[in-house]
Amino acid sequence: MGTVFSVAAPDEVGSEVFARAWDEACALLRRIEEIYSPFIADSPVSRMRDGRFGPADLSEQPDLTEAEVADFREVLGLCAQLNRESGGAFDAWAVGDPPAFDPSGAVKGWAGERASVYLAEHGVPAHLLNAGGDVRLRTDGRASWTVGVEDPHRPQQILAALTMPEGAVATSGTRQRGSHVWDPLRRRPADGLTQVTIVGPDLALADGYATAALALGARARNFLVELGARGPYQGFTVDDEQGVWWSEGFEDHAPQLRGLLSRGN
Amino acid sequence: MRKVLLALLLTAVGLGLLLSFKSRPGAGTSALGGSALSGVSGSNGSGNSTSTTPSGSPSASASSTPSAGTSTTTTTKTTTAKTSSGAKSGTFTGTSEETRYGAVQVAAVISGGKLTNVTVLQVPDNGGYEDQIVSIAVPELKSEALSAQSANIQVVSGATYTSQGYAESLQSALDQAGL
Repeated sequence: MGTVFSVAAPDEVGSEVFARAWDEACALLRRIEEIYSPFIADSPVSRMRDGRFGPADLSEQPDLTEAEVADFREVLGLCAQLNRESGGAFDAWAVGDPPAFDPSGAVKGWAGERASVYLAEHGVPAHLLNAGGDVRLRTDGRASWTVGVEDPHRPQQILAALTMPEGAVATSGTRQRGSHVWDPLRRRPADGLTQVTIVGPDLALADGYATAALALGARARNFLVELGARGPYQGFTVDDEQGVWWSEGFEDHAPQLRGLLSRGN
Repeated sequence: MRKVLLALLLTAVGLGLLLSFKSRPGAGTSALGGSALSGVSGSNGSGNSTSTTPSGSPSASASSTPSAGTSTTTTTKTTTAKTSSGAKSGTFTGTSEETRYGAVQVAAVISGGKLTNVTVLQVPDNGGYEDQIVSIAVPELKSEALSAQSANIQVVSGATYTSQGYAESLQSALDQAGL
């Protein structure tokens, strides 16, 4: 999966509390990798991918505790929700050719969200967690973090700056993990979009929506318009030809963008 | 390759400071790519805190701050080691890695044996595409506001960190630094 996690927190947290909470969060993340990595030959995800067991047999797996089984079901539920809401553009059961089970498009964000929750509950309520370019932010409400949206074509440059006290910013790009994002609807690598950024309350959903939008490619805008109209998840896209676009609600987090896009309605 | 990279990156980060939280210009974007999904652990260093102000500080630009609360200047902690064993310092340029899209190249900045920054030198580009973005979509943003090294940006969300070639280039830079 190739993800490195890093964290920053305000100084008033205290060194020992911070170090301990982060060490424990890292242990959580390592355990998540052991369970969900498709690169580990006998991980539960790899076994499920090979067909060695199915979702109904989760509780019988010797290497999963009861709590881990419950978490796995939560991940499967998340994949189902994303599949439903994206009209099939996100499909953890149809990744690659031939189609196989790989929940990685949701697990990275889910893992980051879990780590952030852990930190918040163990003495680090305000922090900035970076999960390989997906970001989860928390403050006490008094201040905001500022997050840049990377320009995929120019190193060290950003396309927009988001100011927010709390929430998640997830970015998916066609160059992640050294391979294409898979479009399960057309059974081929996704094209049309170079990068999608989703901002919203939860990193697991933001990551999943970003993956879905990237898979939709040139058809992503309708999806993102509807997503942004019915809830708090807003999108920003970079496409192969026309440049950038963003949903109206995205401007609430990046006011410098207001009025720059002409919209049909 | 991945497992080896994992071990080396963990060692490097255990000694180093993963950052994008510096307020002064010149700070790069954070995060390393390429290791298997893993946490980064390290104890907190002393004296390495940097001043980063979540927006709302008096020095912020006119960009809006949602909350009207009092601004607080905070120093941020990041994971860093207490001791630095080696005296290696400098910028080590990784190999330029060819990917199907073009070349990816990074440089690792080492200070006192610790990795303190990763700078992306090359990513595959798309010719005149960047002019198109700026002229069509965001004409009013000044060029300095577009810099990820702006004092007001604490972190950059992007896909570069997990891109193909990034890890290989970074690994070669760390190899040169002896980390």
